[in-house]
Amino acid sequence: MKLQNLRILIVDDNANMRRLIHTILRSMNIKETMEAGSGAQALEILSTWQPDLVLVDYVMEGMDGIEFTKKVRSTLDTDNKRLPIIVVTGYADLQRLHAAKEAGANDFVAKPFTTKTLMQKIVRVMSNGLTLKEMMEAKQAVPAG
Amino acid sequence: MNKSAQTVAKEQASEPFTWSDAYSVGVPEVDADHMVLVELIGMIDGAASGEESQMVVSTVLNALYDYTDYHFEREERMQRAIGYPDHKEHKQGHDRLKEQVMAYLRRYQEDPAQVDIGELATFLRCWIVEHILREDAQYRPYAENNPKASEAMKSIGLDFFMEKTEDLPA
Repeated sequence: MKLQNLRILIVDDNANMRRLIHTILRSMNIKETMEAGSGAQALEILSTWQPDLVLVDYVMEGMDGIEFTKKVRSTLDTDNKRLPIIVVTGYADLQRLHAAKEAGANDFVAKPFTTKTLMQKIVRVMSNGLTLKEMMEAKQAVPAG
Repeated sequence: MNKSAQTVAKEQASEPFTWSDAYSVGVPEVDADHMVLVELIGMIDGAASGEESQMVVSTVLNALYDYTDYHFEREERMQRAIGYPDHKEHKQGHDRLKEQVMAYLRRYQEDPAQVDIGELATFLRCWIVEHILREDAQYRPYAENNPKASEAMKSIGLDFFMEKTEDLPA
Protein backbone atom coordinates (compact mmCIF):
# COMPACT_ATOMS: atom_id res chain seq x y z
CA MET A 1 0.00 0.00 0.00
CA LYS A 2 1.42 3.34 -1.05
CA LEU A 3 0.01 6.34 0.76
CA GLN A 4 0.24 8.55 -2.31
CA ASN A 5 -2.00 6.21 -4.29
CA LEU A 6 -4.86 6.34 -1.79
CA ARG A 7 -8.19 7.94 -2.64
CA ILE A 8 -9.77 9.52 0.39
CA LEU A 9 -13.22 11.00 1.00
CA ILE A 10 -13.29 13.77 3.64
CA VAL A 11 -16.68 14.28 5.29
CA ASP A 12 -17.09 17.28 7.58
CA ASP A 13 -19.64 20.07 7.80
CA ASN A 14 -16.92 22.53 8.80
CA ALA A 15 -15.39 23.85 5.55
CA ASN A 16 -12.22 25.04 7.30
CA MET A 17 -11.61 21.59 8.75
CA ARG A 18 -12.27 19.91 5.39
CA ARG A 19 -9.79 22.19 3.67
CA LEU A 20 -7.24 21.64 6.43
CA ILE A 21 -7.54 17.84 6.25
CA HIS A 22 -7.22 18.08 2.46
CA THR A 23 -3.97 20.07 2.86
CA ILE A 24 -2.60 17.69 5.51
CA LEU A 25 -3.31 14.76 3.18
CA ARG A 26 -1.59 16.63 0.37
CA SER A 27 1.39 17.13 2.67
CA MET A 28 1.47 13.31 2.85
CA ASN A 29 1.50 13.30 -0.96
CA ILE A 30 -2.10 12.04 -1.11
CA LYS A 31 -3.56 13.96 -3.99
CA GLU A 32 -6.78 12.16 -4.84
CA THR A 33 -9.39 13.37 -2.38
CA MET A 34 -13.02 14.41 -2.48
CA GLU A 35 -14.92 16.44 0.06
CA ALA A 36 -18.49 16.23 1.34
CA GLY A 37 -20.17 18.74 3.65
CA SER A 38 -22.69 16.23 5.05
CA GLY A 39 -23.28 12.51 5.51
CA ALA A 40 -25.99 12.60 2.84
CA GLN A 41 -23.68 14.25 0.32
CA ALA A 42 -20.98 11.70 1.16
CA LEU A 43 -23.37 8.81 0.41
CA GLU A 44 -24.23 10.45 -2.89
CA ILE A 45 -20.51 10.68 -3.77
CA LEU A 46 -20.02 7.04 -2.79
CA SER A 47 -22.63 5.98 -5.32
CA THR A 48 -20.33 7.12 -8.14
CA TRP A 49 -16.79 7.20 -6.66
CA GLN A 50 -15.04 4.46 -4.71
CA PRO A 51 -12.44 5.83 -2.29
CA ASP A 52 -10.00 3.60 -0.38
CA LEU A 53 -10.82 5.31 2.91
CA VAL A 54 -13.29 7.76 4.47
CA LEU A 55 -12.46 10.32 7.16
CA VAL A 56 -15.77 11.37 8.72
CA ASP A 57 -16.48 13.93 11.44
CA TYR A 58 -18.36 12.62 14.45
CA VAL A 59 -20.57 15.67 15.01
CA MET A 60 -22.46 16.92 11.97
CA GLU A 61 -25.85 18.47 11.37
CA GLY A 62 -28.34 15.89 10.08
CA MET A 63 -26.56 12.57 9.62
CA ASP A 64 -23.60 12.39 12.02
CA GLY A 65 -20.45 10.31 11.60
CA ILE A 66 -21.88 7.36 13.53
CA GLU A 67 -25.08 7.20 11.53
CA PHE A 68 -23.06 7.55 8.32
CA THR A 69 -20.80 4.65 9.34
CA LYS A 70 -23.80 2.43 10.15
CA LYS A 71 -25.39 3.32 6.82
CA VAL A 72 -22.23 2.38 4.90
CA ARG A 73 -21.88 -0.89 6.81
CA SER A 74 -25.51 -1.86 6.22
CA THR A 75 -25.99 -0.71 2.63
CA LEU A 76 -22.70 -0.36 0.77
CA ASP A 77 -20.39 -2.98 2.25
CA THR A 78 -20.47 -6.53 0.98
CA ASP A 79 -19.14 -9.75 2.50
CA ASN A 80 -15.97 -9.35 0.48
CA LYS A 81 -15.51 -5.62 0.64
CA ARG A 82 -15.63 -3.25 3.58
CA LEU A 83 -14.97 0.47 3.21
CA PRO A 84 -12.39 1.62 5.78
CA ILE A 85 -13.75 4.49 7.92
CA ILE A 86 -11.92 6.64 10.45
CA VAL A 87 -14.11 8.80 12.70
CA VAL A 88 -12.68 12.22 13.55
CA THR A 89 -13.89 13.82 16.75
CA GLY A 90 -13.32 16.89 18.86
CA TYR A 91 -14.36 15.13 22.04
CA ALA A 92 -12.59 11.84 22.56
CA ASP A 93 -14.44 10.23 25.45
CA LEU A 94 -15.24 6.60 26.14
CA GLN A 95 -18.87 7.02 25.14
CA ARG A 96 -17.92 8.24 21.69
CA LEU A 97 -15.24 5.60 21.28
CA HIS A 98 -17.83 2.97 22.16
CA ALA A 99 -20.33 4.41 19.66
CA ALA A 100 -17.69 4.42 16.89
CA LYS A 101 -16.74 0.85 17.74
CA GLU A 102 -20.35 -0.38 17.72
CA ALA A 103 -21.08 1.42 14.42
CA GLY A 104 -18.24 -0.50 12.77
CA ALA A 105 -15.62 2.25 12.41
CA ASN A 106 -12.05 1.17 11.80
CA ASP A 107 -10.49 3.85 13.97
CA PHE A 108 -11.01 7.03 15.86
CA VAL A 109 -8.86 10.17 15.81
CA ALA A 110 -9.19 13.11 18.20
CA LYS A 111 -8.87 16.74 17.13
CA PRO A 112 -6.52 18.52 17.33
CA PHE A 113 -4.31 15.81 15.78
CA THR A 114 -0.78 15.80 14.41
CA THR A 115 0.27 14.68 10.93
CA LYS A 116 2.04 11.73 12.51
CA THR A 117 -1.09 10.58 14.37
CA LEU A 118 -3.31 10.82 11.31
CA MET A 119 -0.73 9.07 9.14
CA GLN A 120 -0.29 6.26 11.68
CA LYS A 121 -4.06 5.70 11.83
CA ILE A 122 -4.36 5.64 8.03
CA VAL A 123 -1.42 3.24 7.67
CA ARG A 124 -2.79 0.95 10.39
CA VAL A 125 -6.29 0.84 8.93
CA MET A 126 -5.07 0.31 5.38
CA SER A 127 -2.61 -2.39 6.49
CA ASN A 128 -4.86 -4.71 8.44
CA GLY A 129 -8.38 -3.47 7.69
CA LEU A 130 -9.63 -4.39 11.16
CA THR A 131 -12.46 -2.46 12.78
CA LEU A 132 -12.11 -1.06 16.32
CA LYS A 133 -14.30 -3.90 17.56
CA GLU A 134 -12.18 -6.58 15.89
CA MET A 135 -8.99 -5.01 17.23
CA MET A 136 -10.35 -4.95 20.78
CA GLU A 137 -11.55 -8.54 20.50
CA ALA A 138 -8.16 -9.61 19.14
CA LYS A 139 -6.43 -7.91 22.07
CA GLN A 140 -8.69 -9.66 24.57
CA ALA A 141 -8.03 -13.01 22.93
CA VAL A 142 -4.28 -12.72 23.53
CA PRO A 143 -3.49 -14.17 26.96
CA ALA A 144 -1.71 -11.71 29.25
CA GLY A 145 1.95 -12.27 30.15
CA MET B 1 12.28 51.08 -4.93
CA ASN B 2 11.72 47.48 -3.96
CA LYS B 3 9.47 46.90 -0.98
CA SER B 4 10.69 44.54 1.72
CA ALA B 5 9.00 41.17 2.08
CA GLN B 6 7.72 42.34 5.47
CA THR B 7 6.07 45.42 3.94
CA VAL B 8 4.50 43.34 1.20
CA ALA B 9 3.22 40.75 3.69
CA LYS B 10 1.75 43.45 5.95
CA GLU B 11 0.04 45.19 3.03
CA GLN B 12 -1.43 41.87 1.96
CA ALA B 13 -2.50 40.86 5.47
CA SER B 14 -6.17 41.42 4.65
CA GLU B 15 -5.94 39.43 1.42
CA PRO B 16 -5.85 35.63 1.17
CA PHE B 17 -2.26 34.42 1.38
CA THR B 18 -1.58 32.20 -1.60
CA TRP B 19 1.33 30.83 -3.58
CA SER B 20 2.96 33.08 -6.14
CA ASP B 21 5.32 31.93 -8.90
CA ALA B 22 7.66 34.68 -7.67
CA TYR B 23 8.36 32.40 -4.67
CA SER B 24 9.90 29.67 -6.84
CA VAL B 25 13.48 28.74 -5.93
CA GLY B 26 14.05 26.70 -9.08
CA VAL B 27 13.79 23.24 -7.47
CA PRO B 28 10.32 21.67 -7.97
CA GLU B 29 10.51 19.60 -4.76
CA VAL B 30 11.35 22.68 -2.66
CA ASP B 31 8.58 24.68 -4.35
CA ALA B 32 6.08 21.89 -3.60
CA ASP B 33 7.05 21.98 0.09
CA HIS B 34 6.78 25.77 0.18
CA MET B 35 3.31 25.57 -1.42
CA VAL B 36 2.08 23.37 1.45
CA LEU B 37 3.56 25.78 4.03
CA VAL B 38 1.99 28.81 2.29
CA GLU B 39 -1.37 27.00 2.21
CA LEU B 40 -1.21 26.13 5.92
CA ILE B 41 -0.19 29.66 6.92
CA GLY B 42 -2.95 31.06 4.70
CA MET B 43 -5.51 29.04 6.67
CA ILE B 44 -4.76 30.50 10.07
CA ASP B 45 -6.89 33.66 9.81
CA GLY B 46 -9.96 31.89 8.42
CA ALA B 47 -9.64 29.08 10.96
CA ALA B 48 -9.58 31.56 13.84
CA SER B 49 -12.85 33.18 12.83
CA GLY B 50 -14.75 30.03 11.82
CA GLU B 51 -16.54 27.26 13.71
CA GLU B 52 -14.61 25.06 16.17
CA SER B 53 -11.87 27.67 15.86
CA GLN B 54 -9.65 26.37 18.67
CA MET B 55 -9.54 22.84 17.29
CA VAL B 56 -8.95 23.99 13.74
CA VAL B 57 -6.23 26.51 14.72
CA SER B 58 -4.51 23.92 16.95
CA THR B 59 -4.57 21.38 14.13
CA VAL B 60 -3.21 23.96 11.65
CA LEU B 61 -0.37 24.80 14.06
CA ASN B 62 0.39 21.10 14.62
CA ALA B 63 0.47 20.50 10.87
CA LEU B 64 2.60 23.58 10.33
CA TYR B 65 5.13 22.46 12.93
CA ASP B 66 5.24 18.90 11.54
CA TYR B 67 5.62 20.02 7.95
CA THR B 68 8.16 22.73 8.76
CA ASP B 69 10.26 20.12 10.55
CA TYR B 70 10.03 17.77 7.53
CA HIS B 71 10.73 20.50 4.98
CA PHE B 72 13.71 21.93 6.88
CA GLU B 73 15.26 18.48 7.22
CA ARG B 74 14.95 17.96 3.44
CA GLU B 75 16.18 21.44 2.55
CA GLU B 76 19.17 21.21 4.90
CA ARG B 77 20.20 17.86 3.40
CA MET B 78 19.85 19.35 -0.08
CA GLN B 79 22.03 22.34 0.81
CA ARG B 80 24.81 20.05 2.05
CA ALA B 81 24.48 17.87 -1.07
CA ILE B 82 24.86 20.81 -3.46
CA GLY B 83 27.75 22.31 -1.48
CA TYR B 84 25.92 25.49 -0.48
CA PRO B 85 28.57 27.33 1.56
CA ASP B 86 26.16 29.09 3.97
CA HIS B 87 24.19 26.01 4.98
CA LYS B 88 25.10 26.30 8.66
CA GLU B 89 23.79 29.88 8.95
CA HIS B 90 20.67 28.87 7.02
CA LYS B 91 20.04 26.03 9.46
CA GLN B 92 20.27 28.44 12.39
CA GLY B 93 17.39 30.43 10.85
CA HIS B 94 15.38 27.21 10.54
CA ASP B 95 16.04 26.27 14.17
CA ARG B 96 14.93 29.71 15.39
CA LEU B 97 11.67 29.51 13.43
CA LYS B 98 10.89 26.00 14.71
CA GLU B 99 11.38 27.21 18.28
CA GLN B 100 9.10 30.19 17.65
CA VAL B 101 6.34 28.06 16.11
CA MET B 102 6.60 25.58 18.99
CA ALA B 103 6.38 28.43 21.52
CA TYR B 104 3.23 29.78 19.81
CA LEU B 105 1.77 26.27 19.72
CA ARG B 106 2.38 25.66 23.42
CA ARG B 107 1.00 29.07 24.37
CA TYR B 108 -2.08 28.47 22.25
CA GLN B 109 -2.65 25.05 23.77
CA GLU B 110 -2.27 26.42 27.30
CA ASP B 111 -4.65 29.32 26.69
CA PRO B 112 -5.83 30.38 23.21
CA ALA B 113 -6.59 33.87 24.55
CA GLN B 114 -2.85 34.40 25.09
CA VAL B 115 -2.18 34.30 21.34
CA ASP B 116 -3.12 37.09 18.97
CA ILE B 117 -3.95 35.04 15.87
CA GLY B 118 -3.77 38.02 13.51
CA GLU B 119 -0.28 38.80 14.79
CA LEU B 120 0.76 35.15 14.48
CA ALA B 121 -0.53 34.93 10.89
CA THR B 122 1.29 38.15 9.94
CA PHE B 123 4.50 36.96 11.60
CA LEU B 124 4.41 33.66 9.69
CA ARG B 125 3.55 35.33 6.38
CA CYS B 126 6.42 37.77 6.81
CA TRP B 127 8.78 35.01 7.85
CA ILE B 128 8.07 32.69 4.94
CA VAL B 129 8.02 35.41 2.27
CA GLU B 130 11.21 36.95 3.62
CA HIS B 131 12.87 33.56 4.01
CA ILE B 132 11.99 32.35 0.53
CA LEU B 133 12.76 35.61 -1.27
CA ARG B 134 15.90 36.48 0.62
CA GLU B 135 17.47 33.40 2.26
CA ASP B 136 16.37 30.59 -0.06
CA ALA B 137 17.10 32.72 -3.13
CA GLN B 138 20.78 32.63 -2.09
CA TYR B 139 21.10 28.91 -2.81
CA ARG B 140 19.26 29.07 -6.14
CA PRO B 141 22.49 29.36 -8.24
CA TYR B 142 23.77 26.16 -6.58
CA ALA B 143 20.46 24.25 -6.75
CA GLU B 144 18.74 25.14 -10.01
CA ASN B 145 19.20 22.48 -12.69
CA ASN B 146 21.38 20.52 -10.27
CA PRO B 147 20.22 16.87 -10.15
CA LYS B 148 21.78 16.51 -6.70
CA ALA B 149 19.22 18.99 -5.34
CA SER B 150 16.15 16.95 -6.34
CA GLU B 151 17.88 13.72 -5.38
CA ALA B 152 18.64 14.97 -1.86
CA MET B 153 15.10 16.32 -1.40
CA LYS B 154 13.62 12.96 -2.44
CA SER B 155 15.92 11.04 -0.10
CA ILE B 156 13.79 12.08 2.88
CA GLY B 157 10.30 10.76 2.32
CA LEU B 158 7.07 10.39 4.23
CA ASP B 159 8.60 7.87 6.63
CA PHE B 160 9.98 10.97 8.32
CA PHE B 161 6.57 11.54 9.94
CA MET B 162 6.20 7.93 11.04
CA GLU B 163 9.68 7.78 12.50
CA LYS B 164 9.38 11.00 14.48
CA THR B 165 10.00 10.10 18.10
CA GLU B 166 9.25 13.52 19.53
CA ASP B 167 5.54 14.14 19.28
CA LEU B 168 3.85 17.45 19.82
CA PRO B 169 2.18 18.22 23.13
CA ALA B 170 -1.28 16.65 23.22
